[in-house]
Amino acid sequence: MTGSHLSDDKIQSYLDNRISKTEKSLIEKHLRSCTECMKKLENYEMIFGELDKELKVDLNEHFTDSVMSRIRDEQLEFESKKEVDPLIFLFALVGVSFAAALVYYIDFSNIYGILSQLNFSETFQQKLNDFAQSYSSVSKFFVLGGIGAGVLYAMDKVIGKFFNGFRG
Amino acid sequence: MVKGEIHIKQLIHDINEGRVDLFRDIVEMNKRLVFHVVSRMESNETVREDLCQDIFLKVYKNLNTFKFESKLSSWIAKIAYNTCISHIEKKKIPLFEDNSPEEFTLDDVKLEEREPSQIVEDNNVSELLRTEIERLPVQFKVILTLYHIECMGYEEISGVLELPVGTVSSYVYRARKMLKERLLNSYEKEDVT
Repeated sequence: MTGSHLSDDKIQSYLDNRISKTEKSLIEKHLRSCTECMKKLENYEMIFGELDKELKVDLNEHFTDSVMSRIRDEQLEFESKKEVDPLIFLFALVGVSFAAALVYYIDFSNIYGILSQLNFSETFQQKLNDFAQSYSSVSKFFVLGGIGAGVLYAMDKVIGKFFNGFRG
Repeated sequence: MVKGEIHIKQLIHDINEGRVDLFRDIVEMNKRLVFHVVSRMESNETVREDLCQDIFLKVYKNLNTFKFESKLSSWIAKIAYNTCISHIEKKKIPLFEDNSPEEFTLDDVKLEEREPSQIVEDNNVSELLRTEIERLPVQFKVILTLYHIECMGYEEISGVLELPVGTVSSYVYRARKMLKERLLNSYEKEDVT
């Protein structure tokens, strides 16, 4: 180490503290007796010192407010598109009407009748039939409501995809 | 998981749940980092500010895709770097036009290692070094900024710039050596004059 000069990489590693303790003491020993390497080290110290200095952040003092304002503007734009697009509402209307028509023509009592053909006990079949007769309209109401909600939920998702939603 | 990370995770969760105003904290925490990356790649102050805003808008739009596989700051630095690269490539903006008689594009800056063409009259070494740092190739400048000012390690920088760790380490050493040689070169020229 003392015989030859220190390489640039070695000096940089020394200043970065990326060397072992043994290597560090060898380098320091060499530096004490070699003015050329000491001069090189001093040059690198100046460079490191300059590189470590923070840049002056000359952003407008209202920078954060401007960013937040742009975010809100884009979000409002997206929300307004989401609210007024007539095509999406037309799709939703057709979807719900179709679901309503479908449910109206389904004979729920018959469905319960088919179920009763399965290997259930006679008492259970009887109870199924009674339930079907009594609550056919209520069932239709819930199924229709469920389908309607499903279609609207799907349309909401489609809106997001359709406009490549603001939140990506 | 350290306290800071839990806070960031909660913050991102809340923002994704619709508490948009909390994004202000993300901007405040990272605007210095974004500015550092941008200012190394764009010299025009007005354009710089617009770019910084665009970057934070991108961060907001993509926040729900952040998977916590890296630090949030590294992820934001990556968006900042890529946005600046796209900006430079799209606009074909000449870089360092103040220091050079020719217009330099990104390709020139990446590939060419120019010799100093101007003796800085100011004898101040710090001023001279700042000038020479500005004249470095763009990737070198960004890497040195992330390493020295943002205190990122080689691996973290490698994730930001999508370069192998070995390349990042080699660029750090090469860039500083280049600065030393240019510094000495300027000294010699000044001695002659």
